[in-house]
Amino acid sequence: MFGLTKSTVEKVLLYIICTIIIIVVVFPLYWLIITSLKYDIDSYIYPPQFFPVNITFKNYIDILFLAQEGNLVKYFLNSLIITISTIFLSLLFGSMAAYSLSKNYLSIMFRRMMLAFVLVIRIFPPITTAIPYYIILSKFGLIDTHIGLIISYVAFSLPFTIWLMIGFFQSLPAEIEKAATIDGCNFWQRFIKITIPLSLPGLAVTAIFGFLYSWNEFMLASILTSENAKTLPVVIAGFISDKYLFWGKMTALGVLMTIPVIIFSSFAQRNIVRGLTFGAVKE
Amino acid sequence: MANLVLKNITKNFGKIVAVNNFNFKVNDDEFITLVGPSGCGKSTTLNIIAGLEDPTEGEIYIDNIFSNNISPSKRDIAMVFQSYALYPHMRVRENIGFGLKIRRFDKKEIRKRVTETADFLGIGNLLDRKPAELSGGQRQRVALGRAIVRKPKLFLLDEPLSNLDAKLRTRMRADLKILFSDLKGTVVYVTHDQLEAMTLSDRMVVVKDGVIQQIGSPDEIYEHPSNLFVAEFVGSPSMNFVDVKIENGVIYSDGIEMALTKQLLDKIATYGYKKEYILGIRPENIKISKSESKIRFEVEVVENAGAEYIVHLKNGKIRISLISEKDISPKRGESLNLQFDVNKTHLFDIDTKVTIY
Repeated sequence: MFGLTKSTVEKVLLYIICTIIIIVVVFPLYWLIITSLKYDIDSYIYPPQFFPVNITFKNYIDILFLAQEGNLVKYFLNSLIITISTIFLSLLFGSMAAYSLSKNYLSIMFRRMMLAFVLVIRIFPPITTAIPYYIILSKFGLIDTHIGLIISYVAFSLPFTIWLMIGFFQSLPAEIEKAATIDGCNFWQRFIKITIPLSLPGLAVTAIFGFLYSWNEFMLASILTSENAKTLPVVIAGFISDKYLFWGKMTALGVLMTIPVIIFSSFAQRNIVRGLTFGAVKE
Repeated sequence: MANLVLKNITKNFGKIVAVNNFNFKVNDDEFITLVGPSGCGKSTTLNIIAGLEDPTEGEIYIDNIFSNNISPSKRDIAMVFQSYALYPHMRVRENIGFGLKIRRFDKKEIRKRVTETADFLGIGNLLDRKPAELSGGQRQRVALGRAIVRKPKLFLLDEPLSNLDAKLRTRMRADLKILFSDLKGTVVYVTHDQLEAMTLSDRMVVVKDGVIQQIGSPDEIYEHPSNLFVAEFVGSPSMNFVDVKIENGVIYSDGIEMALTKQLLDKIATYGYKKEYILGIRPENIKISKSESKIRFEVEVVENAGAEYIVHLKNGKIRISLISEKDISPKRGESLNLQFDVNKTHLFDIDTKVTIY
């Protein structure tokens, strides 16, 4: 039809579908950036301005330098400390748990039971545990503290970490560990000198997911913190008042929040691709 | 160097008996091979010797020391795996020296031993490479280097040549023979390749379905197999088998009529007469006769093996093969007179498959 071959039509359709997908994925980020560069009044204009006419950096100046917005550096550091601590502790305990559950050191019945137990934790939506968490942490005096939030985040990250790392550990050739045993390694030496270095892709993938979860988590942070341990998602929510929505400042802070994610992700990108497929095929 | 004794070693995986009552001794400085088809229990036995698996029953003695409860790292053994199991994140230098480092050897001593071992194996120029940058043969040498650098009492090799191509395998076989002659170590080698077992070993242990079939030198196993399985497994091309009857001292089958020697007749008499037997004869013990004979077969196909022909023949349902020199070139469909070397003929019990003669 119209002198077009089947492969040409297929190519055109493919490009159209890819373009639609790219627009759907990239548009929210684009809208976030341009809204952060608009005056608030321009955010309410109808029809919406897809290409801003009056660009301003006022929103960024307001949130970074003006005192009434609070100490943004402090909240940024809170988010960073809590996120990095969560990733570190999840990987530390999760990888050790995954290692013991992926090998034949324990009976198969016990391993299955432990894996099911770990999975059950993820079945509960975080909202169902928010009140019990609040009560428990307040008894220990951990409300509005870094440690309180870290404990909560680690509890929710661990199941995912364990399940992901089990797959990676099981994909490592068993003979490498046997060789390490013959070479004289004990359990810990095998784990630290052989298994962990070979599992760096898996650890990188798990770290990325852990970063995204902890960095963006809002619900537990809003319930368990007030001022000292307040994180950036909670600060963003503070721009929603009953009288007004500070779109400009919300989106500006949103843009600033994506920068560490982009840096971290591009740093680990090579390991992500390798890590996502590494455990998929058993040798 | 050390000796190794396995006493009544059995290994069960649930209801499956992978290793059934193994008993054998490996002497100091001996090269012994466990050979058999895949899944017969030879790798499991090696893992038990290494301490990587516990036997269900039985005892292991390494250098006269009861070793069942000694961990693999303390048995003073070295192992080379089928996949080489090199550490991908370490360079060759670190791979070879890893066992010494874990055992807290002095850094100077490690460097010295690693360099000596690498030079000995001809991989001195590869020390700074990672395993991914090496060929199959080079990786195998690194795996060997990792084993020999520690100067252990016992070497365990689990099919180390099976991942190599045929040409490289032939070369490495010779290299391994020279290596372990020079090294003077006690070696337990596992393979499914009967040619590897024949060429490398001082003695062979032939295994089938977890049961030892025969232990002996390559010549003993080749010339005097204890049963049909051993006779068929060892030798290439493999032994020919024909169902035969014996009447009045003569073997009869389709296309075969052959008088037996007195020695063979006495053996049959001692064993007890049966209606039928299985005749076994190796291809190299069948000759093409220029004169008329009572063994006549038709040529089915001729394989050109370079230095010789492998001629496949048939008579009715019976199929045999022989090795012919190149000066005789049989044609397909040609009827040939054959001669069997009676002294190299074997006879097996048709029911138990045990060797009678």
